[in-house]
Amino acid sequence: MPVQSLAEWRQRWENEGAANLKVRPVEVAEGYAQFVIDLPYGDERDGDLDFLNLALSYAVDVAALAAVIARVDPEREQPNGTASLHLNFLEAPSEPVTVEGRVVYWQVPSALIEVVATGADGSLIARGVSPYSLRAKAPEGAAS
Amino acid sequence: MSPATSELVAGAEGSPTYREFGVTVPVLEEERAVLSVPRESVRLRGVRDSINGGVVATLACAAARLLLQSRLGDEGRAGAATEIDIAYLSAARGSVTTFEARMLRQGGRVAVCEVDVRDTDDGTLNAKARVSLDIER
Repeated sequence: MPVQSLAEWRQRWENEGAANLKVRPVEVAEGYAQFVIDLPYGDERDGDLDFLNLALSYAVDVAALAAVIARVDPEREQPNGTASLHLNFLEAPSEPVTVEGRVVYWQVPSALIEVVATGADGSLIARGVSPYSLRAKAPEGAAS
Repeated sequence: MSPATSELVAGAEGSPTYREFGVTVPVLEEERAVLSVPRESVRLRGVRDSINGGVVATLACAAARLLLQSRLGDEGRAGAATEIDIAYLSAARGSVTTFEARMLRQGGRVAVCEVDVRDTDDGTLNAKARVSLDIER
């Protein structure tokens, strides 16, 4: 699909909830999206294992979805929701984390997205895969 | 609830993650922990205005961690989730969503829990997760 301008794309993923997690959109290309978690928070959230999990899991979810949206052909396919997620948390992050979603397989009705989170020094923070459900669109004029 | 369990619940409900989403703990027993989340308090939304899938995954991990900590008592600390495998079965769009964790296996270093995510309005199963956690001693 034609990818939006970077400014428009970033605006789409910026919201109050994401800002509270310090998750911000960085880069997009066909079938690829990158977000960053701007750790540390500098407050009690840094010591909360659940909150660090939240920031990572949210960033992984939106990176996978954004990668799908950046690949879908709007005339032939439509996103239908994340089917599942398998994610390994490898290291507890304390510094900025880059989260990338990348389409590695694309076929209606199911695509596969790889998600990788890395620290500032390149160390692996989390890695996973997420099958994503797709629907075919009926050709225009076809009976539904 | 015992005083120790009540203290654990109070600590959890006062933590940044639970406060962020207005999470409460209606049940914390030997065999299960239940977290309850009103959808209106979750700003991070997903498909069809449901609770975002990353938030669902996190709260599944949180329910598992709370159950493990309750079972460990003073004999250890429930560490971070090391792995989650979650199937999203339907959009979490109920007015209140519950996360019910049960222990599958608690070893010396690792615990594995199963978590059901349900819409409390009609009982629909929204997601099913398996969560692995470290045990720190």
